[in-house]
Amino acid sequence: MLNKIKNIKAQVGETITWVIATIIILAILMFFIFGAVTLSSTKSLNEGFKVSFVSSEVFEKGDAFLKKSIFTYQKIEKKEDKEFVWKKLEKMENKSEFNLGLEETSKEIMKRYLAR
Amino acid sequence: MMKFYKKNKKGDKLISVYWFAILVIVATAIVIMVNSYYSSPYDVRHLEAEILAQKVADCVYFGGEFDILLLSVNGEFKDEFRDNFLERCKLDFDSHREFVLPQYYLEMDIYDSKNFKATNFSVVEGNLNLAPDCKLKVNEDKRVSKCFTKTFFAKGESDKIYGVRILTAVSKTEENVK
Repeated sequence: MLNKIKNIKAQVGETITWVIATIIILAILMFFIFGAVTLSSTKSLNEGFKVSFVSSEVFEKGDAFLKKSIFTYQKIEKKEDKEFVWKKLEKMENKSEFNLGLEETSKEIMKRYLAR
Repeated sequence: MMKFYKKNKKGDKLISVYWFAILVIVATAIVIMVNSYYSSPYDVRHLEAEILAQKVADCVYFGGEFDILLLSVNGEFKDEFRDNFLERCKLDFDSHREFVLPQYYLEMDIYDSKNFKATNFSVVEGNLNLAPDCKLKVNEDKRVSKCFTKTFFAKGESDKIYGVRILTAVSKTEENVK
């Protein structure tokens, strides 16, 4: 009789354990499904990666427009015009219009294309 | 002892069924997760708009010089380049579907760098209906076209400096938004 009562108690305990485990498993699954649905709605592609000579941070993102402006800056001969363009570029950098740092990209371009 | 063994076997069977059910639930959940993640498309419109702007920038100004078909030796911008802009830049905005407007919009202004208001050369191409989307302050709605705008400096004849502003917009919500 005593054995039977003990057996029933053990079965009840085990059943509760499994029920709780099932709830936890379902909760985790729901969490991951919710995560997958949320992430799927924010999928977007980032820009490519390019290796830099100067630092690891430069050229990780491309900015063809900044590079064009720097090329122009390097080609200008008049000193006052050069200063004017540089000041404009600095202003644009302060407004976070570039993906890259102005100074670093300028050095990078000098090293890559113009110092030959 | 025999009775106890039989009872235990029943319990084992029950647990096997339970594990099988859990396995099915987990597998189904994984299928739902993978399906929901990969069924929604990547939104590449912003990148597409940027690539388009870069292509236009390279078309008009490359290697520190304006295209010879755009800027004459006298320093004048040629109207012929504007009239055949898409052809000159090898762009095709046609949707190739009947009754479907182009999914792209492009605006380019070349102005004197010292006077932003004096436009020397201007080009507008593509679907004009997309232009107002770029003027919206809050551009978070997925259905709104993605815009990209950049300005760069260019050197013309006799050291004259120009500012080139390019604005591009890409619609194509069907392909990029679920």
